[in-house]
Amino acid sequence: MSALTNIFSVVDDRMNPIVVKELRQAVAGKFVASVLMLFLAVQLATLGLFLMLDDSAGAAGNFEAGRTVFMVLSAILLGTCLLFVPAYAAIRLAAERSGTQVDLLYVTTIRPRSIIWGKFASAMMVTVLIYSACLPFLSLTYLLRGIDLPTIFTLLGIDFLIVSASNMFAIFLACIPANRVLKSMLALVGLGTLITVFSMTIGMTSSLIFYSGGIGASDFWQGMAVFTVLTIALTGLMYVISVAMVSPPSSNRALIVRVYLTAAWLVIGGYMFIWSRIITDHAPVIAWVILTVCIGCVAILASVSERDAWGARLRGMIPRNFLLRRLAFVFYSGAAGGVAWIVILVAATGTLAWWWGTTFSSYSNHHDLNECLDLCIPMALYFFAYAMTAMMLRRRLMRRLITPNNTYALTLILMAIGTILPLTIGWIVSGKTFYRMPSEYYLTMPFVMFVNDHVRQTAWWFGSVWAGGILVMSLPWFFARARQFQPLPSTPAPVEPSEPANPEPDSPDA
Amino acid sequence: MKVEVNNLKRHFGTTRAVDDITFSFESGQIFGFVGPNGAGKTTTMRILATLDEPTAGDATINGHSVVERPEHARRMIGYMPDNLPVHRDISVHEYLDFFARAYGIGSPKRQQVVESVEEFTNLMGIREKMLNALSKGMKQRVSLARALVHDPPLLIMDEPAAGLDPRARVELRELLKVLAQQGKAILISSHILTELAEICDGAVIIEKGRILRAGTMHNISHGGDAPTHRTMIIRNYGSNEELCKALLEMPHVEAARLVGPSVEADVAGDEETCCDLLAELLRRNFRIAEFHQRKADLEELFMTITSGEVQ
Repeated sequence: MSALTNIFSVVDDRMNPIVVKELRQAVAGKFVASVLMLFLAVQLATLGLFLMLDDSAGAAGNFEAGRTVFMVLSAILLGTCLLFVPAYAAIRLAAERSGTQVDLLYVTTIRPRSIIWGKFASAMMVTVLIYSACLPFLSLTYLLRGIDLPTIFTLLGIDFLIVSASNMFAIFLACIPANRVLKSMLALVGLGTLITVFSMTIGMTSSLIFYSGGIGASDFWQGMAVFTVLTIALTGLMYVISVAMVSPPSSNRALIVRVYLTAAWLVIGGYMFIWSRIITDHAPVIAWVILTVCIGCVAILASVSERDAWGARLRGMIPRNFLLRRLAFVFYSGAAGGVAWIVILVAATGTLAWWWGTTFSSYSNHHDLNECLDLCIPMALYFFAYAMTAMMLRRRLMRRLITPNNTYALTLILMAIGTILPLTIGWIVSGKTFYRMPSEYYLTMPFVMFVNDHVRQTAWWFGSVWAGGILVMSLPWFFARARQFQPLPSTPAPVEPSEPANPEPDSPDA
Repeated sequence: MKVEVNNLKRHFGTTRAVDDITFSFESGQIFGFVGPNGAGKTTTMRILATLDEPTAGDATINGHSVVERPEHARRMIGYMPDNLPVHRDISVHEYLDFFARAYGIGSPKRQQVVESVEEFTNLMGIREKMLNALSKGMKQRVSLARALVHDPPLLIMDEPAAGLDPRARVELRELLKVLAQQGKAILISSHILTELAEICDGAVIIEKGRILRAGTMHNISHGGDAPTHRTMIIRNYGSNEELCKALLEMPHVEAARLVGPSVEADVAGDEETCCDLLAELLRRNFRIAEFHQRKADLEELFMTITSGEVQ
């Protein structure tokens, strides 16, 4: 008994405090209990009504009943898990973020990653609770025939993966620092996205059990593998961005995001290259290039909005070793390092994809890979040029008007001006519509390379000159930042107090 | 344990919320932090609590820099913000248990710690009550209990008495006195200056991010130097008018006036001069029932030395 108590005690101490708190609140509150009761009642009523009203249910030769009931029950399950659980997690977190509660957590020894992990884990536990209440009903559909147990459990697994990503998505939205109006808009965006995900998942489930070859089809598991990797990667990305968002501004917020994205870029890249080799097709590499360039375009907006100088807290973490310090410069919070990291990542992607295309030029869609590079690289150059121009304008002309963390907004404004103004001038001067006016008028549009082949070549040239020019002009700033990236002068650590408050506190991060 | 704030600066764009402030206080002291709204009190407290980073300067708690080693400093800080906890569906006991876990206090010590804090802050009777059902005074106590749960040697309290009724204020004051006696260093900001004057050993008066006065209450009220003038309150067991006349005849007494049942006399001199004055009054057969120096009126002082300008 004592040993058992000790084990429970150790487990209790190891549990994330946020999970304990959230689950206590869930048990004490009415929301989760009400949703669970309602969910069970709807499941029971659906199954009962179907069995009573459908005379053919269970009849020999009827293979539709099991599938139909499964579809309805899984829709109820998915609806509950996709709408109620993420909403519950997001509303709680957003409410706490609006007050000083997160501040209070920061003065404890708990870390931001534990806060987000705790929120996610508690949302997942509520999901598991709802799943466990639903499983007996779903298993019953097997007895009604038309669907086998492997299919039931595979589909439930897919749904669980989607619900996990949705929970993380809701937490991610709740972490975005926003005022009341923006929060309402984010809530609407979140609701719209979850409804879309719900519809798509139901559509996929339906086509899988009614129309396609089911889980036994040859391409099902291949597709599932890609889907699983991408969903997990996306969930992880939302997790690290959420951690960065709830971290104090003075902390090294970018580190976790850049390390994660670099690792994901390597893992997914490796996976895609191997897959491409196996199927002798460039499609996986094309997907990897598009994904990397899109992330790079978004990341550069975030990077140019980062701090320009490093505070003592971050400088305390800078390695003293020269090589490690150069590496840390790219990964630590800071605008210059962030820009360098994106340039390296996108340049490496382009180079690797080009090399792959040259080496395996016999693949049937070799042309598609070249076209993908012709579209993606100019787009990356345009985003780089716009972001760096915005940063230079802010530094040199608008220092007092725009704070560094709003550089992304200036970039977007410049992009809007670059899209609308030349087009308007072109329309006034030439009197022609968009498709008929000379390409010079819309060469500053960030997505001009998608217009036609001829413009794409001009965009390559224009983007390269602009990005190259702004890069050269920014080099003095970049090198100055690199020189300033120095650790704090070493100071001896103070002697620990003779009676600390908690001499050896247990880690709450477990 | 010593808390030292050295040349602390915090700038938000062109606004200098905290502008080169330096002060220190020690274990067992209650140190007041006084200033008008927007003076930089909360910013300074947030920096001390490791929630914000200074633009320049540093603060150390027992030698641990809150800037360079925030993780070490956090174990020594109990922070009580001006906002109160708003968690729903959680009881007082669960809330304190949660923070004890967040500070990494393992069982079975956690149970003991939480119970002793509940007992100290007189929360035992309401420990099972939901947090959102508590009155403001009770929430303030919970907030104090939360700040004490890891037994920090430094307490940082931002406007703890704001919105409390007189009884709750007195109770809070008594708790703070006990905590100071236990050896905790307490930094407290408040707008209720009379309250601060009664419990604080020292204070900092801050405006527009700059320190106007700092030191012990005595030093603050006299501009930091040894006082050359003081106001004595004297009550005679008899006619105060005669006392007033007699005082005005004496050297070193610059002014004397009747104030209620007593006489207030402005004396130019030190403590020895006051002793001589009392001896002279007794020699003249005045039956002195009360003779003491008027305490520094922090409120008056505050109004005198601050301009009330906000950045």
